[in-house]
Amino acid sequence: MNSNNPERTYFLIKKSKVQSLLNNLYNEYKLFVPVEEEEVVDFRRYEVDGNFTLEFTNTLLPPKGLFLPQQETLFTFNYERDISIEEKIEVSRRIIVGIRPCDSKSLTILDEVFKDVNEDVYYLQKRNNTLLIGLGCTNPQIYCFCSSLEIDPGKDISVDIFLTDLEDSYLVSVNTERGQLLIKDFPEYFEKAGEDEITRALEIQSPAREGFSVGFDKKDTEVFMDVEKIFEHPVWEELAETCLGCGICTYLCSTCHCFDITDELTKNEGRRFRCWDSCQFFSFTNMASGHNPRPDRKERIRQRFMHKLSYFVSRYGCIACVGCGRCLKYCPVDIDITRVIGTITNE
Amino acid sequence: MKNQSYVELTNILKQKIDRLLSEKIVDYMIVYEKGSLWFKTRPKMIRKQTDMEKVIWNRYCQFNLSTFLKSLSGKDENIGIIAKKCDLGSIVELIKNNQIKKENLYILQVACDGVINWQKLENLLGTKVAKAIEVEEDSPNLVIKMPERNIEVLKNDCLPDKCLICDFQPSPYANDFLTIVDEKIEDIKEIKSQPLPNLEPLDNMSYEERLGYWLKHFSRCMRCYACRNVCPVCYCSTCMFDGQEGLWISKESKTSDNYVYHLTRAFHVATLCVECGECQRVCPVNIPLMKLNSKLAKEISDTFGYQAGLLIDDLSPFKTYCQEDPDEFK
Amino acid sequence: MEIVAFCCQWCSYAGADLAGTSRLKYPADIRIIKIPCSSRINPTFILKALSKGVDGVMVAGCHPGDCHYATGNYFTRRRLTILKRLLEFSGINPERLQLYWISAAEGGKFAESVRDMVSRLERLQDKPFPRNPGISL
Ligand code: SF4
Ligand code: SF4
Ligand code: SF4
Ligand code: SF4
Ligand code: SF4
Ligand code: FES
Repeated sequence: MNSNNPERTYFLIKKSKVQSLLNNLYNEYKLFVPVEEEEVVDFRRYEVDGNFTLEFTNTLLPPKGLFLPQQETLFTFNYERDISIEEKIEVSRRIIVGIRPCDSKSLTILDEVFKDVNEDVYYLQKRNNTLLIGLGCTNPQIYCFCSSLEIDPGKDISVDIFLTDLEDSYLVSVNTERGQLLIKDFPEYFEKAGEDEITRALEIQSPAREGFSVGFDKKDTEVFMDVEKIFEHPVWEELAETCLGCGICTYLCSTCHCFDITDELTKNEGRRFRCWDSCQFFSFTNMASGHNPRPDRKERIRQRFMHKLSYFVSRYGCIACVGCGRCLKYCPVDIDITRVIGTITNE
Repeated sequence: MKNQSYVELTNILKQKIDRLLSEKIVDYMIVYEKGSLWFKTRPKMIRKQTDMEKVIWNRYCQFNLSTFLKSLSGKDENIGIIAKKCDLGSIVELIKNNQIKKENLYILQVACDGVINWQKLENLLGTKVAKAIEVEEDSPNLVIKMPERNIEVLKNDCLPDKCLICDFQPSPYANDFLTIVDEKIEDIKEIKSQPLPNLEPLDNMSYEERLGYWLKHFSRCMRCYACRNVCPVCYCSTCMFDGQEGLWISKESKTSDNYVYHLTRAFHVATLCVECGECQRVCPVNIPLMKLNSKLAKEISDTFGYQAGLLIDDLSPFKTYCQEDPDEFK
Repeated sequence: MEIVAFCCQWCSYAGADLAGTSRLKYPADIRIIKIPCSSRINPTFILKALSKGVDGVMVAGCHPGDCHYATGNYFTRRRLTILKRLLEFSGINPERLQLYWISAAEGGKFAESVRDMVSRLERLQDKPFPRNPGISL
């Protein structure tokens, strides 16, 4: 997270030097870079001279998994004679390279949740230890609609360092002190950027700012604040008819953050772990008594949209969606948040 | 098929559905409607004739609608459904396994010579897909119209495997078959080489390599259960992996538990799986699930001479036995 | 070596009892789980055991024709024949799953079956399912 916002400074790094920089960073940090495997790009641990790509649209899985892993051991315990508990908190310094503006925004949204009344040390430690190197979008996907949520695909000041693709090099915009320290440690890789490169970067990014295929007017989402009116809207019934109740839209969502906590025991030892859960599953709200307050797909799909567009807004003041388009791309029955908003507001 | 043929077929389809609804032959109709993007469609149930203009039939209608015929228990409604040749297999299995009664079903089969898999198309076009406007067929190619210039891709490269071995013929179980007389449906079958997917490379691996291959894939599974939920013949009302009582697999998506899940899933639908490919298509992390299904289908056909989805009166080999069955045990 | 043995309660489990009361020796590598009939076996039982890294799973039931429920074991035979092919395809040597027909009177055959299972497993070159295949990132 940003400690402060000093004067922004600009540098250039040659694309050909990136691998060598990564190799150097590897000695001091746990590095996560986008890697392509089986036609899918995802963040993976970087090893010296390992594969990585910065020519991708976006990762399949959002980077939330690096802060809220799909499964995470919270602590282990042992009760041989006395009870002993060992907490598992990730303390290593980490860097994520190539995070897109929508996804870095999603982290600031998740921060709200995890530093709410109860501070979640597992998440927050990782956030504090992790330096983010963002990457501007020049070629958005057909599914992206970040601009509907007032996110600029070409500029991101919430990351420590932000890269803009200038064909044979990257413009490096440094937003934070942490970012500046990193640049200082490796002066041999960076040269000062001139005015014309900065202007060129703006030009290159501009196509990304226009021409989204899907989207909505952010003002339109205000109707969702009228919970009573929207709650019984016929659209939920209609969506429930085809929704399969799978976990794709919530697991792939940049901002979904629900988890379940379980203990696993063998003889005298055990561990407590948490793992992702989804409001689209029947078991999510099923109670020990057998009663389920969200018994059908209708209530569950409504929960997803209402949480993002209404409940989250009343609690934290922002929509829990960053327009990354993952749910829209991968939903097997093409349930599309932009269309849902459109259906409701067009009446 | 030409774009024009799809338009004509859609018009005929609308007339037919209009009659089915107005004469109350069906209570509702499961159809396709236009999706959010030009190469997507989505399933839709229509009950009112006023919804008729939403009905669409085009080469992006990949979804196997018969998955909405499962878990209907208790509801005694007459349902109409649009089915491609390949969707008829799973409908046959659902009828055979008493999930739905044939007399409650009106099956409207439409002529199909292959549906486009948007993921394959997207992989071919990359971000260019965002600019494309329309696709026209110019056999054996598809012409993708862009603002500046057109791109040609081989149609077969955009089709799911199942279309390469499909015979396009009317099914004896369809109540109606919609086709256009003057359209010559291209015979893509000529190009098919052998049954797909090709399992040979896997068959030739050592045990260790093969287990490694699968565990690598299963380690990516995030247990979203889309593959299970989309499957038309995976029809248990409560899945053993969702049940309250026994936690067969941890909620954590551990690779070893993913292995248990995937092999169980494949085995549970063995004898039912009609290889429609839906599970693999919806998997966001590209796990080659069809290889498991096809392997089982092949073993079952080799051992018991049975193929799922052909005849309603066939008995599933797991529901019967024969004293003289092969016995490799002691 | 670790072997999980699922024994049908009417024949094979009684056979194991007889092996015990007759003081027959057999390798101590097996853990017996009693099941009502060999056809109670759900493939998940076998897969779960194998995925925990055990060396082998044996399923034992009444001889074909003698199932207490008349025909259960005929179904078992069909299912496990196919399951073995699936195991093989997934990279587990199908030898790691065996089905034996053992009646209540065959204490000797029970002991012999365990020995057979152990010696088959000892001959295998490949490894069982890894104990810690890692979890996905
Ligand atoms: S709701 Fe959809 S578009 Fe919005 S952040 Fe989540 S996955 Fe991305
Ligand atoms: S939409 Fe559902 S899964 Fe996502 S954060 Fe809200 S309740 Fe959780
Ligand atoms: S991805 Fe689509 S089908 Fe799956 S739960 Fe979400 S909305 Fe429903
Ligand atoms: S398999 Fe046949 S009927 Fe099914 S989509 Fe392909 S061509 Fe059409
Ligand atoms: S669809 Fe893919 S990721 Fe989801 S449970 Fe199935 S195999 Fe796993
Ligand atoms: S009761 Fe022994 S096999 Fe069925």
